[in-house]
Amino acid sequence: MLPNPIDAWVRRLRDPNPTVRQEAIRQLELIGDPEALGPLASIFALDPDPETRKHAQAAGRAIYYVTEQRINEQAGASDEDRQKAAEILAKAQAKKQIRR
Amino acid sequence: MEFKELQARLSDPDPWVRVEALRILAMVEDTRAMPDIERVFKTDPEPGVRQVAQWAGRIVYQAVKRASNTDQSADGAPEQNELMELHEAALIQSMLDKDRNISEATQLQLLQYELTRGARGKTTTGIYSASTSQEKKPEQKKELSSGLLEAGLSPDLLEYFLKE
Repeated sequence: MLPNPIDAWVRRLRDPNPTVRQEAIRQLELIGDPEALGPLASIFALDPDPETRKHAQAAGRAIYYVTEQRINEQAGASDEDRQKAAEILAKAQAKKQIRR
Repeated sequence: MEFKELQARLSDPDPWVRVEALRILAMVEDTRAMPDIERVFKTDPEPGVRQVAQWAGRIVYQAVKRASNTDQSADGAPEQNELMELHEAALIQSMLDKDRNISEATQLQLLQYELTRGARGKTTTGIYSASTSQEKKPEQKKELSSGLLEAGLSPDLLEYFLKE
């Protein structure tokens, strides 16, 4: 039985060093596994470091909403929706470029 | 883990499952959860869980208020709009590309986006502004503390939780 890849990072969420905790948060967000939401929520609620709490919240929201959309996507989309989707994406990408 | 599952977990027989679900809903500020959080706050058999519901309810309520302000004015809370765009972008990407590798790239984009916002000094939400904007009377604080200690919270963490 293979170990769950997120377990190592979830353990590091309890590291006394906030830098280690924040790195763990980053990695969990990259992996994107919603199993991490519970541990991230605990960090959001209880971590002594405000920066760490903010990062946990950002990561948690990213995972949560991407997961939601992935689930919606599995329900299927029409061609019209895809067209509209492409337009909105282009708009969002353009906005990001301007901000940079 | 998505909204319906979290909703179900709010009625789980294990109080820790309920607490975790409340914390997640507060963290992501899912405004759909407001009625459920209220229900837990009013009717949960565990006082510790009710206290966590109170905390979560304050946070989600602030998000509900911000959302309704966005509806009323043309330039509403910019962060709320940004979040909507983020959701849309994620939806779009996942709709256009079923390839899992691509959707991981989307997650990377989201991460970059969030980190860039953080670097510019914009916070995602006022996590603790939800509680700092309201004065906590000493009696309420005491009630909150004992409820949380009952729920198994360690005293050191409790101190940080209540510090504003």
